[in-house]
Amino acid sequence: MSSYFILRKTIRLLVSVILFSFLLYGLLYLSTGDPALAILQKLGGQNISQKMIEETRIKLGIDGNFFKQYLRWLFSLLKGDLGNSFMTNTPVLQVINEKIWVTVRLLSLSFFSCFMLSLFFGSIIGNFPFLRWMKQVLSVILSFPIYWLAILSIFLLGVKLKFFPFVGSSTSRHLILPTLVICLSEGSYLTKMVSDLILLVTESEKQKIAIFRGIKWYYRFYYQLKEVVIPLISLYGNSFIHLFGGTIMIEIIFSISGMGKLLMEAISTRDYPVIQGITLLVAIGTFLFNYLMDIVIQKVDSRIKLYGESI
Amino acid sequence: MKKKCIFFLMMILIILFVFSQLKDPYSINKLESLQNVSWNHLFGTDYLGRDLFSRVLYGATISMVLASVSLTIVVLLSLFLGSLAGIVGGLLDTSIMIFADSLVSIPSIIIALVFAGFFANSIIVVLLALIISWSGNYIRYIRNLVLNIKKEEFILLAPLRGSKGSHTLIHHILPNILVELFSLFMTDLGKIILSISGLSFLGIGIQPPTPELGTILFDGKSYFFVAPWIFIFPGLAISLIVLITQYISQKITSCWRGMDD
Repeated sequence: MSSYFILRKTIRLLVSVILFSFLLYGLLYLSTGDPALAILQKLGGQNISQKMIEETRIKLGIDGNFFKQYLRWLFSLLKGDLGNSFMTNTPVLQVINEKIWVTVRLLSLSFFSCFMLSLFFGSIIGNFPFLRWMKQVLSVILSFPIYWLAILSIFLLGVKLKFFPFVGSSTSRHLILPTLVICLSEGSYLTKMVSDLILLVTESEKQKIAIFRGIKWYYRFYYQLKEVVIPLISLYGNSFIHLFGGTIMIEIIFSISGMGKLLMEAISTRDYPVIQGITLLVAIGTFLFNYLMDIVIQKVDSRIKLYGESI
Repeated sequence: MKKKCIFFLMMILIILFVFSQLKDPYSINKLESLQNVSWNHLFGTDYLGRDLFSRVLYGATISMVLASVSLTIVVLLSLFLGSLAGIVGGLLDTSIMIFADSLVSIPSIIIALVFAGFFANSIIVVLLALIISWSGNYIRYIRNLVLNIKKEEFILLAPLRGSKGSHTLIHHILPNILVELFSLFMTDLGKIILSISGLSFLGIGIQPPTPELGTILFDGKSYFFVAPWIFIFPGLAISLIVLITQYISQKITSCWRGMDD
């Protein structure tokens, strides 16, 4: 049963990756402007003939009809070749490799701190009914856009009080303020959700009896967590994916030269291979992450048949 | 009854007051640039002397209209696909769900950025991208609602009353999921406003002269120490809109629960 489940999920993963790559390539095909013409113009060609355009197209691998192009692109993708950046003419993989570690560092740091904070505060708010008003405060914080909070914190903590540096990512001190902002926005969402989950559990008879019997709080907490572990896994998994989107905004505002900033620059210069490479990488990352999450949830509780679908 | 009358009168007075303060959000008056909060300019003015109060109000209206139009399209699209998946089932269901899952898993900001990069940097393209990325979630939600309600007796017995296929869908299934859908619609209205204004803050979508909450914030951030009101009021306006939509959605849900009991 379990191997059948994993097989099903693997087929799903492959189908979604192929579907996504097809959609991405289709979008590029439909997009405005001819890359061959753009490159020739950039190289300073004066009298661009139809023949030159054809030759450049063959060089870029975009001659022939759509399916031919797509298959060729897919096969070169499987070899690990994402093409060259239009602007710097270096392989896309190399460009991404230079930037990705900054993003990974920021992402993992902020996710880890969100995780700890939300688990801590969420269980406190869930366990003590007189702290219920904290949830209203959290919803008010959540209603502010993340970039507003980011800029407010830059001006208050960075410029006015000079606590933290806020431009770039050269030292680890530079990551404190971005992490703080992400914790404020994503962390308060997680805290709210965790406290809701814990609140439901603490109202169960088992927990009430445990209080009367004088069971220590850390044992009670352990059993509370044990009951909500499956919703927690999917909550944290989804929020990790959601953080991808949030970090793009944060990177642009704090001018951290990570993937988000790279994507933004690639968009303003219309550097298609870079845009494609980043999007594909993020997509494959999230698909893989979802896949792992499903398998973990199934391992934790094998009664669960996710979605109950028929592949 | 008397309370309601007073409330109604207050509302009319507030609306009249707001309209009396409304000025042209585009009119530039360099003499009045960066003025503080006053009776003449309720939220102060920006660096070109434009009245911030009317700009914020116009911006909020534009955001609301864009968000509700795009979200309505999302709902209609996913009502079609989601109920198709829920009712027909089988291979069609699986393929629609794989499609929806791949849409859900990519952060919507990335889809919007990619669309803006591949096509033009205009609001239509950004809205298209948001519609595409949001519909995945709704397809999944509507399909699950339809599957849940399909188990109810009145749907199982509907063929006995001579109601089949699309008739069951329109007359029996849709009216019963509409309230839950509407409550989700209201919550997501706030979220979609957040993402539209976030994108226009990055310069994607709505372009600067148009008053939109994101573009006003972007203009205001360079004047934070000189004129903090340019930055603070639009942020408060966004937060207020989000909170109000969430409150309405909560009210709808609790009303619906109350009717069930």
